[in-house]
Amino acid sequence: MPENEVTLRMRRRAKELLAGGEVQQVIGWEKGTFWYQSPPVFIRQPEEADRLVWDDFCLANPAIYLLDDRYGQERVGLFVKGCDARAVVRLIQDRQLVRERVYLLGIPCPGLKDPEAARTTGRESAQLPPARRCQHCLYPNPVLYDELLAQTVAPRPPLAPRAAVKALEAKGVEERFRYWREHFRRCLRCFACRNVCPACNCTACLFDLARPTWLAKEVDPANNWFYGLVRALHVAGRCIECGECERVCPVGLPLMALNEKLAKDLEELFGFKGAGLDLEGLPPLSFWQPDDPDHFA
Amino acid sequence: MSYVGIEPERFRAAWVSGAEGARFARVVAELTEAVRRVGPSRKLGDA
Repeated sequence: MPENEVTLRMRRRAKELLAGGEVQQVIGWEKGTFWYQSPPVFIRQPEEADRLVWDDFCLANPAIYLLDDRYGQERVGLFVKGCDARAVVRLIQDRQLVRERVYLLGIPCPGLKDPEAARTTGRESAQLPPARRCQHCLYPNPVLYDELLAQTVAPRPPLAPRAAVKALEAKGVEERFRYWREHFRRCLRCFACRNVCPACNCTACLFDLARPTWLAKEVDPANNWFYGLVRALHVAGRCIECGECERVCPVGLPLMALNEKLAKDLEELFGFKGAGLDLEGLPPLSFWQPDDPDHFA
Repeated sequence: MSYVGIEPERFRAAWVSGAEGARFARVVAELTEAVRRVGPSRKLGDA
């Protein structure tokens, strides 16, 4: 497959930035074991920059790796899609990252493909359905960047926005209970959803604490529920809806149906358009205003 | 909580000032009565 123009520009800019000493590291994507995988890659030497790639499977959000060196001094060149740039905005807002420590190379994103469909059907890229998160993406262009590697794209009309949430809301309480119980039963508590989440950027996490033991060590339905629901509430208003939690879940829990419900509630209650859209727009649950909704009995 | 299948009768948010003892008693009594009607919850147990 001939390398596309964005890939070539990524490699050229990575080489320039590293060779010129403007950044000490570049984070992007490379080809994985299978053709439908493009995992993150960390590049320090200009001559390694040819590993970089941009294709239909660059789903991983590279912004979360900034947290691994959140107190460091190095400057990092980061390739960002629309959703990744929102993650960077959130990290800066949460004071986990200083803006000057990242050089953002924005990639207006045409929408990526579903790697799971690639694995199961074996069809080639052009015939694959869009990745789930991309089906109702409203912000394909990076909201924060130092340079753009391609022309901005027009957002596609979202397919069935919040369809999963609406379908669940239409059901009865008992049916909803059975739905979530059957899913949370299967949770392995591997914490992949937390570890991949740009909103989960606390240095200490309540789920890891031994004293007090908020979350018991047993992997049973009660503790799985507690974990899943508390995590969803903790990222309410800070979730950028990148869908990484759902993508990395090894048992395929519909985690975005929880996160999207909270995003929908915040939109209805506070008129909140989404987390990480600009550096000034703070999450509605992080400050108070006299005219906040106040539906108390 | 209702979204994940817990009966809405079990929850209530109420504004009660520290000076409103009688109101606090009434809110708690009403909630207790509502929870008693739906009975014990087994949903978040280990079942």
